[in-house]
Amino acid sequence: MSTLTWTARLGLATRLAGARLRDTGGSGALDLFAVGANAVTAWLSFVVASGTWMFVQRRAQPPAWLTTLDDADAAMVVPTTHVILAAMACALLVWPILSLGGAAARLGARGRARRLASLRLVGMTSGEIVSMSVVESLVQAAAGVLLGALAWTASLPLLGLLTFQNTPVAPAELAMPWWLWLGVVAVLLALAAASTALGLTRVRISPLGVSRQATPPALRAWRLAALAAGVFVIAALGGVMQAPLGALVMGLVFAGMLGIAIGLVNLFSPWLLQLIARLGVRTGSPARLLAMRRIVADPRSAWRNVSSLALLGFLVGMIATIPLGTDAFGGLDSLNEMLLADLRTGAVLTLAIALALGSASTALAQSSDVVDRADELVALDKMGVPPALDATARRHQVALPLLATLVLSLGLGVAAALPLVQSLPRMAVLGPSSVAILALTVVGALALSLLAAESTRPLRRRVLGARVRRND
Amino acid sequence: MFDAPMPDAPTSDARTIAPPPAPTAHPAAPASPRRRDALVASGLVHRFGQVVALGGVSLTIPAGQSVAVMGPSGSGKSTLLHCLSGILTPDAGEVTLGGGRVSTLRDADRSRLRRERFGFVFQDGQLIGELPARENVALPLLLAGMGRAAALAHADSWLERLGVGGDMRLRRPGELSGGQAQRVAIARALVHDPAVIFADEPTGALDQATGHEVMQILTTTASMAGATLVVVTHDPHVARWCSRLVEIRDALVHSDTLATSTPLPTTGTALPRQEDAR
Repeated sequence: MSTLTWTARLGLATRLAGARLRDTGGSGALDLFAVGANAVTAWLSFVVASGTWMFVQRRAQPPAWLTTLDDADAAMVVPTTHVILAAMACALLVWPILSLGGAAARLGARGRARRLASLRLVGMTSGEIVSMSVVESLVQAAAGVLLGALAWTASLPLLGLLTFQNTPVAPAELAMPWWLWLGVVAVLLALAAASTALGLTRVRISPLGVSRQATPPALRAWRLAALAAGVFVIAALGGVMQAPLGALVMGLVFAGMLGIAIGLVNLFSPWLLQLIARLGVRTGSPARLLAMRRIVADPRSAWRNVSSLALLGFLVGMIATIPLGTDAFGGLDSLNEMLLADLRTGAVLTLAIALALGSASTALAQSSDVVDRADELVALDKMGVPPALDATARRHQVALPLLATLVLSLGLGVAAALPLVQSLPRMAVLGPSSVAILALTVVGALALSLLAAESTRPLRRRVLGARVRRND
Repeated sequence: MFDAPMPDAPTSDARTIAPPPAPTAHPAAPASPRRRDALVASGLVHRFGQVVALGGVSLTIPAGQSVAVMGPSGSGKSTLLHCLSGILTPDAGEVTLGGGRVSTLRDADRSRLRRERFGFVFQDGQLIGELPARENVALPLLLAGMGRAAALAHADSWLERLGVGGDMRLRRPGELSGGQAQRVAIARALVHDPAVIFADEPTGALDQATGHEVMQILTTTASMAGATLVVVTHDPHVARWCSRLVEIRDALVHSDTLATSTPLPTTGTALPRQEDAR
């Protein structure tokens, strides 16, 4: 029977949060990280929403440059195209944003786990604990939303440096109406609440302690068979698309193909990462051994950190095949030149946001892992194992899944676009600009991820430096 | 208390444990026989804030001796182990190993000392969850620069010797029983041929029978390897496996007794001890 009022739950949650912040073991730092992750999520959500809103506004009132063109239809068609492209970018960023928001909520929940067991011991019900955790997550998310809004305001001058439709972005164009603010905030808070509730279902909270579910068994090769079957189904649906169908049916079939493709990638990739890591364990380097074994033990987590980049990598791979110079197209008019430039700017911006979200997710997951492994790290430190071992292992741990995902997705994107690109006259196949975009993407993503892995250093120092007196 | 009858007989005899594996030819392999040195603590003082954990403890542990450090909760026995092993730097006094000062070494040098000359066994094993048993044991050798194949072969021979060979070598710690995991931890502590093994409540998470088994393995293998053994424990039955008992109370050595005969009891016979062997 639930006897705790919501006010009491909020009060208890606040006191526990205060206790965690004073904890030398680092669990309080996780709360701060969770707030930080929520802030990044909110900030980038506001950037994406306000950018889309700007295009909606420009559709209603096209920029002066468009109206000066000889082409009378341009002022009508081009703004609509930009709204559709912005909506596509939003759709592409939904998954990375959901991933980071979810990671922030799970992080809070895992950090609280041990304390929650004590609350069960003193008589709180499982439902009360879940609801109290949801309240805590909502408080963290609300703080993140507030910080995110401040960050968005601070970044307006930077966003003003961008140019779309041959017109610089004016900060006033990014001002969202109240209902859009409310909608974005509501979605962010709902996401935090739902992720916490779902995250706690993975943790069994009993009065005798909290235990995570047992290490999952190794992923099996049937996933490879499922991939082959899925590709066959997609090919079959592609055949269906050739038939004369209504727009609604076509849309549904296409959505089905896309859904199956995403499902297949999520099914197959963890198995592939596990396979690559299994090959990597045959090493004499302790750090690499540790990293590969961690991936083998939990390939789904490794994949979760980079999954949001797979689709974007594919798209960037496709876009990278378009040369920077317009000569390759035999010369373009100013309208198409603008469209091409906007397409590239939008793609790079979307990828940059996704990379920022991905590296924040990686930093969160690694920080959470440091706290979860506190006992192990302290024991290794006592044995004289240098802390650099864990730091190096983490670098390998984030680099392998990232590189594997990017190489595959970028490569597939290039492969998918090549037939189209090669059909264009005077088009160089993978010219210097293409190689530069691909290389910059890989190097940038790798640098951000390594930075994310390195961000755990202060937390590790704090965990190892906690010199509390053991009750001996 | 120390002369009480022995608990249940250990489940296996010390004679069933094979001698330590032969050293490998790899240059990074631990040299054998390694120089054995006395571990000496002189006037150790350590405080945690206002709490005095060690109030001037002096202790000489000859090479190859097994010492049980006992005492009530909060007496300072784990702090003593941490100071002796260079994990903590005492506020006053010093620790020497073979005449070389441990407590004044730089942090990195103390880490290296712990890694190369000491072995550790913790209460709950503290094995790395993702590594199979053999890789957990091989880790100290890999850290010392030994090649993978040689390190794994050396680890395998230790695991075999401690009764966790065969398929168990390939299992991860979560797939082993508490006793098996502690055997793996003992193998990890011994694999690099340390001069001193520090065991902090090594049977604290085990049932009594398994605890006796683990203590028998620990004391026997340490003895055969010629390593000094320092065990911190609450349990007098565990302490009885050691040749010397140091009792800590209120941050000071309260008593220090020496067994007159070699331990490794296999029956319920009491071990006579010589009082005040300091």
